[in-house]
Amino acid sequence: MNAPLLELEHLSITFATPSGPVYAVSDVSLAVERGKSLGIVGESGSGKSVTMKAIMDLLPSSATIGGRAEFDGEDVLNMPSSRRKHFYGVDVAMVFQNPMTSLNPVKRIDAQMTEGMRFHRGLSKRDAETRAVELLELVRLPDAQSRMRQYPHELSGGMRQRVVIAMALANDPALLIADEPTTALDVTVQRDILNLLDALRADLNMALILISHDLGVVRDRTDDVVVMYGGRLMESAATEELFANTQHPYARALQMSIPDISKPRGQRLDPIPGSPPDLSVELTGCPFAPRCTHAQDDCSNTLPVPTRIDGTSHSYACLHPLGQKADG
Amino acid sequence: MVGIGSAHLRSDTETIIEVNNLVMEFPGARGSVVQAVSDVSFDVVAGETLGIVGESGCGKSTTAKAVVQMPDPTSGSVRYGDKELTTLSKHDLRRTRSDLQMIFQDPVSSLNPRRGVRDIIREGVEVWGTGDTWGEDRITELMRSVGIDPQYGDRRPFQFSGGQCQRISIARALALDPKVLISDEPVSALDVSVQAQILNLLEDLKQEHHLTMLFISHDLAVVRNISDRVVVMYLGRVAEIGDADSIFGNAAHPYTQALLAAVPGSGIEDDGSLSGELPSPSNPPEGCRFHTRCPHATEICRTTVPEFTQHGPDHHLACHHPQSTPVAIS
Repeated sequence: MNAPLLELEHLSITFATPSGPVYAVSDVSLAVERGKSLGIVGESGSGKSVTMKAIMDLLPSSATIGGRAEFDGEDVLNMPSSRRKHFYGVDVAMVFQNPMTSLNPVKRIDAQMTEGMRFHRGLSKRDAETRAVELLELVRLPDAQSRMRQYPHELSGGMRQRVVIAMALANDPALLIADEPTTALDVTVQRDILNLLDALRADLNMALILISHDLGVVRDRTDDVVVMYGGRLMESAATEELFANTQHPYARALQMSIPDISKPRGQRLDPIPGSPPDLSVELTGCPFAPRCTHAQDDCSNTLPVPTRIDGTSHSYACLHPLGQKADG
Repeated sequence: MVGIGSAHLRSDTETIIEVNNLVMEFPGARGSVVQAVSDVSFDVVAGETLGIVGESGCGKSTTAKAVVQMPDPTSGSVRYGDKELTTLSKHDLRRTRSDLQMIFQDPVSSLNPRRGVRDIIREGVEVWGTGDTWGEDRITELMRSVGIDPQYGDRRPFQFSGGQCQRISIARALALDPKVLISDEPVSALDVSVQAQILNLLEDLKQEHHLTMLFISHDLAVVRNISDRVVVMYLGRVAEIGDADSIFGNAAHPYTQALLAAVPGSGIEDDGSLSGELPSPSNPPEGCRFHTRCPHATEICRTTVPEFTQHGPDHHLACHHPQSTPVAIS
């Protein structure tokens, strides 16, 4: 196994609010290798975006971060500011859900595309523009040359997301974090963008972290996957292994609650009863226990520690896992 | 694709809604005309759920809103029961609309943030003055039936989660005892676990209140789960329409096939035909509007708008070259 490019160890993030602390992320450990893709799955409030924002130094000052985050052996959370300004945008880049809010509506595409390259690499305006057109062609934006002089509102949602991805790739990042990059897009455009990210990852030997609430997206596109709930890791494994041998009742419930397009109409869905946990309460047990159909008495007062299945990277935090193949 | 004609209308069946040759046009930039919906016809039988699917900009929301005359269609007819809505007086239209209620995608923004839940649910009834037969008990009952604890009746929308707000929207829509519920992407903004709760709730309420539903969604799996029949729209026209199981199991229109192939985990080989951009609805392609992206397009597709032909017992499509190898999700 190669050394991980990004490694989080026991990361926790707490927000100070007027009504007390909010425990957004607790004890999250994960790793991604160069050239590999990691999916982070969870619902709103699961902490998946907050975790990545901590890496990107995008959290407000009300956040307190604990634990460790290392990028290629370098401490990310305590980086000197001189290093930091080239870490973001060169080593690591991020793509967000809504491409319109990532672009400046009153600047043309060329100005936005070249800004990062000129700052980080000191390219001349002309060289940066040449490179920008190359990048737009790399992300298969039609008419790249003429798009350079357009404003974001003149492009469709899919084209805007391509521009945002091209900007993220400008300085050959070793890690690209994509936070719900296709959630605002049509399925057809979604497929194009995901294919593109896949191809870029392979061609550029880039690590990709794909955050999504859509299990289908993650299942098709990632090497490894982690499932988060209530700010904690529920289960993590190689993607195929996780879907074939799900151990955590939450990971299973999430799969069961999605309508199956191959099943005829009228199939009754299995929703997860109740609502997501209140993160302002410090938990003493499993965050999923109140909604879990497998919960027993000990679940509400014992915090489950991650258990690893021998000989694999598959681990789960549950006192009463689903078992099945793992036992046999 | 995207055809014309009325072969797919069920003339022999009693329908509650019949939309004929619906056209919706909006003024666009520099004098252009955005042809949002062009010559769309469909019908709905009472108690049926009709799913409308397509990419953004295909006119699915505009079509649904045109049914309640929001705004008035440019041309075409919309019949509800024995009433022709397009020619109804303002007064009669307002009276009729209480039968046709809508719920929307963003449940939080569709509720008045300054009012309590009970007031929100009550408002329609107050306006329509059927309050005599309508007491606080009915509100309590409605809240209970959508799964909101009646003791929270004085709380405001911000004190509820997105899923709970969608439940409140549904209670408000049901307060007037509608016959038809039009749902525009009602679960798209919700987490998957909550989405399943709302879909089950809609199904239960549909049975209980004998509702007819128009259900708009870009999520094909959700549409398959809830719909009896499905309309696939492309660039303002109907591509394929019919029984949901037949459409999903035996899609013959190249556009429907490509749409199904794009669903993550569909297991369908992706031929890449839907790459590229949707043409502009202010200057749609001549002939079949899908021909610019269709792998099977020929000369006739560029010049002649296809008419609906029958493909199965309740399955019609508008295509010059229906695909004999059906694509089926398995």
